[in-house]
Amino acid sequence: MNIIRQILIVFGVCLLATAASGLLPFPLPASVLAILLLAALLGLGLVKEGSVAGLCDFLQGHLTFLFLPAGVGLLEHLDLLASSGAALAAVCLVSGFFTFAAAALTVRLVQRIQKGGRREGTDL
Amino acid sequence: MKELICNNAVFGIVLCAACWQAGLWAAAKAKHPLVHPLVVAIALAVAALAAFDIPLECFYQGAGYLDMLLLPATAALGLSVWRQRRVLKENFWPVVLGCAAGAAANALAAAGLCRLLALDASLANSVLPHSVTTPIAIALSEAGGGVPAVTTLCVLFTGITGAAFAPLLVKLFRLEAQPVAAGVAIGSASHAIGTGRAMEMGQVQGAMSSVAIGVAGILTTLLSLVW
Repeated sequence: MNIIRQILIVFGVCLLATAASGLLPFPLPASVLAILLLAALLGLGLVKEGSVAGLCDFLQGHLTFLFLPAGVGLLEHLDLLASSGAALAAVCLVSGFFTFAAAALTVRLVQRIQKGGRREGTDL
Repeated sequence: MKELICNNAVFGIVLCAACWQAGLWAAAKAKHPLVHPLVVAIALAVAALAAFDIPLECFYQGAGYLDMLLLPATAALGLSVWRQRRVLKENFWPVVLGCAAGAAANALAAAGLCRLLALDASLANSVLPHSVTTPIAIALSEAGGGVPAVTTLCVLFTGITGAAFAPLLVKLFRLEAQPVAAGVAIGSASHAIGTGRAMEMGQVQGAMSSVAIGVAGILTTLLSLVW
Protein backbone atom coordinates (compact mmCIF):
# COMPACT_ATOMS: atom_id res chain seq x y z
CA MET A 1 0.00 0.00 0.00
CA ASN A 2 1.61 3.21 -1.21
CA ILE A 3 0.01 5.76 1.11
CA ILE A 4 1.33 8.85 -0.69
CA ARG A 5 -0.15 7.56 -3.95
CA GLN A 6 -3.50 7.00 -2.19
CA ILE A 7 -3.36 10.56 -0.81
CA LEU A 8 -2.58 11.84 -4.30
CA ILE A 9 -5.63 10.09 -5.80
CA VAL A 10 -8.18 10.78 -3.03
CA PHE A 11 -7.08 14.37 -2.32
CA GLY A 12 -6.72 14.94 -6.07
CA VAL A 13 -10.36 13.90 -6.52
CA CYS A 14 -11.28 16.34 -3.70
CA LEU A 15 -9.28 19.15 -5.32
CA LEU A 16 -11.00 18.60 -8.67
CA ALA A 17 -14.39 18.46 -6.94
CA THR A 18 -13.68 21.68 -5.01
CA ALA A 19 -12.63 23.52 -8.16
CA ALA A 20 -15.63 22.18 -10.12
CA SER A 21 -17.98 23.11 -7.27
CA GLY A 22 -16.71 26.70 -7.46
CA LEU A 23 -17.22 26.80 -11.23
CA LEU A 24 -20.78 25.48 -11.20
CA PRO A 25 -23.53 28.11 -11.42
CA PHE A 26 -25.45 26.47 -8.53
CA PRO A 27 -24.25 25.52 -5.02
CA LEU A 28 -23.48 21.78 -5.29
CA PRO A 29 -21.16 20.89 -2.38
CA ALA A 30 -17.66 19.68 -3.24
CA SER A 31 -18.24 16.64 -1.00
CA VAL A 32 -21.15 15.42 -3.17
CA LEU A 33 -19.15 15.95 -6.36
CA ALA A 34 -16.19 14.11 -4.81
CA ILE A 35 -18.37 11.08 -3.95
CA LEU A 36 -19.70 10.94 -7.52
CA LEU A 37 -16.27 11.47 -9.07
CA LEU A 38 -14.58 8.75 -7.01
CA ALA A 39 -17.43 6.29 -7.66
CA ALA A 40 -17.26 7.09 -11.39
CA LEU A 41 -13.47 6.60 -11.54
CA LEU A 42 -13.87 3.23 -9.80
CA GLY A 43 -16.77 2.28 -12.05
CA LEU A 44 -14.83 3.13 -15.20
CA GLY A 45 -11.85 1.13 -13.94
CA LEU A 46 -9.58 4.21 -14.08
CA VAL A 47 -8.89 3.78 -10.36
CA LYS A 48 -8.50 0.34 -8.79
CA GLU A 49 -10.11 -0.40 -5.42
CA GLY A 50 -6.69 -1.31 -4.00
CA SER A 51 -5.18 2.08 -4.84
CA VAL A 52 -7.63 4.01 -2.61
CA ALA A 53 -9.07 1.44 -0.17
CA GLY A 54 -6.46 1.81 2.58
CA LEU A 55 -6.89 5.57 2.95
CA CYS A 56 -10.68 5.54 2.33
CA ASP A 57 -11.33 2.84 4.91
CA PHE A 58 -9.14 4.65 7.44
CA LEU A 59 -10.94 7.98 6.93
CA GLN A 60 -14.42 6.40 6.91
CA GLY A 61 -13.61 4.44 10.02
CA HIS A 62 -12.73 7.65 11.88
CA LEU A 63 -15.40 9.88 10.33
CA THR A 64 -17.19 10.58 13.62
CA PHE A 65 -13.99 11.84 15.27
CA LEU A 66 -13.50 14.32 12.42
CA PHE A 67 -16.78 16.08 13.33
CA LEU A 68 -15.34 17.14 16.68
CA PRO A 69 -13.77 20.45 15.52
CA ALA A 70 -17.04 21.53 13.86
CA GLY A 71 -18.98 20.55 16.97
CA VAL A 72 -16.71 22.59 19.24
CA GLY A 73 -17.64 25.70 17.22
CA LEU A 74 -20.82 25.45 19.27
CA LEU A 75 -18.92 27.34 22.00
CA GLU A 76 -19.73 30.58 20.18
CA HIS A 77 -23.43 29.76 19.97
CA LEU A 78 -24.30 28.53 23.44
CA ASP A 79 -26.90 31.32 23.84
CA LEU A 80 -28.59 30.11 20.65
CA LEU A 81 -28.77 26.60 22.04
CA ALA A 82 -30.21 27.83 25.34
CA SER A 83 -32.95 29.83 23.62
CA SER A 84 -33.84 27.50 20.73
CA GLY A 85 -32.41 24.10 21.66
CA ALA A 86 -35.80 22.56 22.46
CA ALA A 87 -37.31 23.80 19.19
CA LEU A 88 -34.37 22.43 17.18
CA ALA A 89 -34.65 19.06 18.93
CA ALA A 90 -38.39 18.95 18.14
CA VAL A 91 -37.74 19.68 14.45
CA CYS A 92 -35.10 16.93 14.29
CA LEU A 93 -37.28 14.31 16.00
CA VAL A 94 -40.52 14.99 14.10
CA SER A 95 -39.02 15.36 10.64
CA GLY A 96 -36.73 12.39 11.31
CA PHE A 97 -39.82 10.28 11.98
CA PHE A 98 -41.51 11.44 8.76
CA THR A 99 -38.32 10.73 6.79
CA PHE A 100 -38.18 7.17 8.12
CA ALA A 101 -41.88 6.61 7.40
CA ALA A 102 -41.79 8.07 3.88
CA ALA A 103 -38.65 6.15 2.91
CA ALA A 104 -39.85 2.82 4.34
CA LEU A 105 -43.36 3.01 2.85
CA THR A 106 -42.04 4.11 -0.56
CA VAL A 107 -39.53 1.25 -0.73
CA ARG A 108 -42.34 -1.22 0.09
CA LEU A 109 -44.65 0.35 -2.49
CA VAL A 110 -42.02 0.25 -5.26
CA GLN A 111 -41.13 -3.34 -4.36
CA ARG A 112 -44.81 -4.33 -4.55
CA ILE A 113 -45.22 -2.64 -7.93
CA GLN A 114 -42.08 -4.32 -9.29
CA LYS A 115 -43.15 -7.69 -7.87
CA GLY A 116 -46.68 -7.23 -9.20
CA GLY A 117 -45.28 -6.76 -12.69
CA ARG A 118 -43.63 -10.17 -12.54
CA ARG A 119 -45.77 -12.29 -10.26
CA GLU A 120 -49.07 -11.66 -8.49
CA GLY A 121 -49.75 -12.27 -4.84
CA THR A 122 -46.29 -13.06 -3.50
CA ASP A 123 -44.76 -10.67 -1.04
CA LEU A 124 -41.03 -10.23 -0.73
CA MET B 1 2.21 29.72 30.31
CA LYS B 2 -1.26 29.34 28.79
CA GLU B 3 0.03 31.08 25.69
CA LEU B 4 2.88 28.54 25.44
CA ILE B 5 0.54 25.56 25.65
CA CYS B 6 -2.32 26.79 23.51
CA ASN B 7 -0.91 29.04 20.82
CA ASN B 8 0.44 26.38 18.45
CA ALA B 9 -0.71 23.88 15.83
CA VAL B 10 -0.65 20.74 17.98
CA PHE B 11 -2.77 21.94 20.93
CA GLY B 12 -6.12 21.59 19.09
CA ILE B 13 -5.27 18.10 17.88
CA VAL B 14 -4.16 16.95 21.34
CA LEU B 15 -7.32 18.38 22.92
CA CYS B 16 -9.53 16.65 20.30
CA ALA B 17 -7.77 13.31 20.73
CA ALA B 18 -7.92 13.54 24.54
CA CYS B 19 -11.62 14.46 24.59
CA TRP B 20 -12.38 11.69 22.06
CA GLN B 21 -10.64 9.08 24.20
CA ALA B 22 -12.60 10.28 27.24
CA GLY B 23 -15.78 10.12 25.14
CA LEU B 24 -15.06 6.53 24.07
CA TRP B 25 -14.43 5.57 27.69
CA ALA B 26 -17.64 7.24 28.93
CA ALA B 27 -19.75 5.64 26.18
CA ALA B 28 -18.31 2.20 26.92
CA LYS B 29 -19.04 2.66 30.63
CA ALA B 30 -22.56 4.01 30.16
CA LYS B 31 -23.63 1.44 27.55
CA HIS B 32 -26.60 3.64 26.64
CA PRO B 33 -27.43 4.55 23.02
CA LEU B 34 -27.91 8.22 23.96
CA VAL B 35 -24.40 8.52 25.50
CA HIS B 36 -22.44 8.97 22.28
CA PRO B 37 -18.63 9.44 22.30
CA LEU B 38 -18.89 12.54 20.09
CA VAL B 39 -21.43 14.24 22.38
CA VAL B 40 -19.24 13.62 25.42
CA ALA B 41 -16.14 14.79 23.51
CA ILE B 42 -17.80 18.02 22.29
CA ALA B 43 -19.06 18.79 25.80
CA LEU B 44 -15.61 18.19 27.33
CA ALA B 45 -13.76 20.25 24.71
CA VAL B 46 -16.23 23.14 24.99
CA ALA B 47 -15.98 22.99 28.80
CA ALA B 48 -12.16 22.94 28.70
CA LEU B 49 -11.93 25.91 26.31
CA ALA B 50 -14.46 27.89 28.37
CA ALA B 51 -12.91 27.02 31.75
CA PHE B 52 -9.39 28.12 30.74
CA ASP B 53 -10.67 30.98 28.61
CA ILE B 54 -8.85 29.72 25.50
CA PRO B 55 -9.82 31.51 22.28
CA LEU B 56 -11.31 29.36 19.49
CA GLU B 57 -8.62 30.64 17.07
CA CYS B 58 -5.98 28.83 19.14
CA PHE B 59 -8.04 25.63 19.08
CA TYR B 60 -8.59 25.81 15.32
CA GLN B 61 -4.87 26.27 14.58
CA GLY B 62 -4.61 22.51 15.11
CA ALA B 63 -8.23 21.33 14.91
CA GLY B 64 -8.48 22.92 11.46
CA TYR B 65 -6.28 20.12 10.12
CA LEU B 66 -8.81 17.53 11.34
CA ASP B 67 -11.68 19.58 9.94
CA MET B 68 -9.94 19.65 6.55
CA LEU B 69 -9.98 15.81 6.48
CA LEU B 70 -13.80 15.80 6.39
CA LEU B 71 -13.82 16.32 2.62
CA PRO B 72 -11.64 13.30 1.70
CA ALA B 73 -13.46 11.26 4.38
CA THR B 74 -16.75 12.05 2.65
CA ALA B 75 -15.28 11.37 -0.79
CA ALA B 76 -14.49 7.90 0.61
CA LEU B 77 -18.28 7.27 0.56
CA GLY B 78 -17.77 6.96 -3.22
CA LEU B 79 -15.84 3.74 -2.54
CA SER B 80 -18.62 2.43 -0.25
CA VAL B 81 -21.28 3.14 -2.87
CA TRP B 82 -19.14 1.49 -5.57
CA ARG B 83 -18.60 -1.58 -3.35
CA GLN B 84 -22.38 -1.88 -2.92
CA ARG B 85 -23.02 -1.54 -6.67
CA ARG B 86 -24.57 -5.02 -6.94
CA VAL B 87 -27.10 -4.42 -4.14
CA LEU B 88 -27.75 -0.96 -5.53
CA LYS B 89 -28.33 -2.31 -9.04
CA GLU B 90 -30.69 -5.05 -7.83
CA ASN B 91 -32.73 -2.56 -5.78
CA PHE B 92 -32.16 0.58 -7.83
CA TRP B 93 -35.71 1.97 -7.97
CA PRO B 94 -36.74 1.07 -4.39
CA VAL B 95 -33.55 2.70 -3.07
CA VAL B 96 -33.62 5.83 -5.24
CA LEU B 97 -37.36 6.47 -4.90
CA GLY B 98 -37.29 5.60 -1.20
CA CYS B 99 -34.47 8.07 -0.57
CA ALA B 100 -36.22 10.69 -2.70
CA ALA B 101 -39.46 10.30 -0.74
CA GLY B 102 -37.48 10.45 2.51
CA ALA B 103 -35.64 13.61 1.43
CA ALA B 104 -38.89 15.28 0.32
CA ALA B 105 -40.77 14.34 3.51
CA ASN B 106 -37.80 15.54 5.54
CA ALA B 107 -37.66 18.93 3.85
CA LEU B 108 -41.45 19.42 4.09
CA ALA B 109 -41.74 18.37 7.75
CA ALA B 110 -38.66 20.36 8.84
CA ALA B 111 -39.62 23.50 6.92
CA GLY B 112 -43.21 23.30 8.18
CA LEU B 113 -42.12 22.88 11.80
CA CYS B 114 -39.58 25.70 11.54
CA ARG B 115 -42.36 28.00 10.38
CA LEU B 116 -44.72 26.72 13.10
CA LEU B 117 -42.09 27.32 15.82
CA ALA B 118 -41.18 30.69 14.27
CA LEU B 119 -37.45 29.91 14.01
CA ASP B 120 -35.45 32.64 12.27
CA ALA B 121 -33.95 32.01 8.85
CA SER B 122 -30.40 31.32 10.03
CA LEU B 123 -31.57 28.73 12.59
CA ALA B 124 -34.01 27.16 10.12
CA ASN B 125 -31.24 26.77 7.52
CA SER B 126 -29.04 25.23 10.19
CA VAL B 127 -31.58 22.53 11.08
CA LEU B 128 -33.10 21.82 7.62
CA PRO B 129 -30.35 19.42 6.40
CA HIS B 130 -30.26 17.49 9.72
CA SER B 131 -30.85 14.03 8.23
CA VAL B 132 -27.91 13.89 5.81
CA THR B 133 -24.30 13.09 6.54
CA THR B 134 -22.51 15.96 8.37
CA PRO B 135 -20.15 17.28 5.64
CA ILE B 136 -23.04 17.60 3.16
CA ALA B 137 -25.27 19.08 5.86
CA ILE B 138 -22.61 21.67 6.76
CA ALA B 139 -22.18 22.63 3.10
CA LEU B 140 -25.96 23.01 2.64
CA SER B 141 -26.27 24.96 5.90
CA GLU B 142 -23.48 27.37 4.91
CA ALA B 143 -24.97 27.89 1.45
CA GLY B 144 -28.25 28.95 3.09
CA GLY B 145 -26.66 31.20 5.73
CA GLY B 146 -26.95 28.71 8.59
CA VAL B 147 -24.54 28.13 11.49
CA PRO B 148 -22.33 25.04 10.83
CA ALA B 149 -21.85 24.28 14.56
CA VAL B 150 -25.62 24.20 15.15
CA THR B 151 -26.02 22.00 12.05
CA THR B 152 -23.38 19.58 13.35
CA LEU B 153 -25.27 19.29 16.62
CA CYS B 154 -28.63 18.78 14.88
CA VAL B 155 -27.16 16.09 12.60
CA LEU B 156 -25.62 14.41 15.60
CA PHE B 157 -28.84 14.58 17.62
CA THR B 158 -30.84 13.17 14.69
CA GLY B 159 -28.35 10.35 14.18
CA ILE B 160 -28.19 9.37 17.84
CA THR B 161 -31.96 9.47 18.44
CA GLY B 162 -32.52 7.78 15.07
CA ALA B 163 -30.18 4.95 16.00
CA ALA B 164 -31.78 4.64 19.44
CA PHE B 165 -35.34 4.52 18.05
CA ALA B 166 -34.54 2.44 14.93
CA PRO B 167 -35.52 -0.96 16.43
CA LEU B 168 -38.82 0.51 17.65
CA LEU B 169 -39.58 2.10 14.26
CA VAL B 170 -38.74 -1.15 12.45
CA LYS B 171 -41.35 -2.89 14.63
CA LEU B 172 -43.89 -0.08 14.23
CA PHE B 173 -43.72 -0.25 10.42
CA ARG B 174 -43.43 -4.08 10.45
CA LEU B 175 -40.09 -4.12 8.64
CA GLU B 176 -38.56 -7.08 10.51
CA ALA B 177 -38.67 -9.18 7.34
CA GLN B 178 -38.07 -6.22 4.99
CA PRO B 179 -34.30 -5.65 5.11
CA VAL B 180 -34.19 -3.33 2.08
CA ALA B 181 -36.95 -1.02 3.37
CA ALA B 182 -35.51 -1.00 6.88
CA GLY B 183 -31.99 -0.18 5.64
CA VAL B 184 -33.07 2.61 3.29
CA ALA B 185 -35.32 4.16 5.97
CA ILE B 186 -32.60 4.07 8.64
CA GLY B 187 -29.92 5.43 6.30
CA SER B 188 -32.00 8.28 4.92
CA ALA B 189 -33.32 9.31 8.36
CA SER B 190 -30.20 8.92 10.49
CA HIS B 191 -27.12 8.74 8.17
CA ALA B 192 -23.89 7.11 9.43
CA ILE B 193 -24.81 6.80 13.12
CA GLY B 194 -28.04 4.98 12.23
CA THR B 195 -26.12 2.82 9.76
CA GLY B 196 -24.09 1.45 12.64
CA ARG B 197 -27.34 0.19 14.16
CA ALA B 198 -28.59 -1.10 10.77
CA MET B 199 -25.40 -3.16 10.42
CA GLU B 200 -26.22 -4.83 13.73
CA MET B 201 -29.63 -5.84 12.31
CA GLY B 202 -28.15 -7.59 9.30
CA GLN B 203 -25.87 -7.39 6.29
CA VAL B 204 -28.55 -6.26 3.82
CA GLN B 205 -29.85 -3.62 6.23
CA GLY B 206 -26.32 -2.29 6.73
CA ALA B 207 -25.50 -2.25 3.02
CA MET B 208 -28.78 -0.54 2.07
CA SER B 209 -28.36 1.98 4.88
CA SER B 210 -24.85 2.94 3.79
CA VAL B 211 -25.94 3.27 0.15
CA ALA B 212 -28.86 5.43 1.36
CA ILE B 213 -26.43 7.87 3.08
CA GLY B 214 -24.84 8.68 -0.27
CA VAL B 215 -28.05 8.64 -2.32
CA ALA B 216 -30.06 10.65 0.25
CA GLY B 217 -27.22 13.17 0.57
CA ILE B 218 -27.09 13.70 -3.17
CA LEU B 219 -30.89 13.86 -3.57
CA THR B 220 -31.24 16.29 -0.63
CA THR B 221 -28.63 18.52 -2.27
CA LEU B 222 -30.48 18.42 -5.59
CA LEU B 223 -33.75 19.14 -3.78
CA SER B 224 -32.20 22.16 -2.05
CA LEU B 225 -31.15 23.52 -5.46
CA VAL B 226 -34.73 23.65 -6.72
CA TRP B 227 -36.21 24.60 -3.32
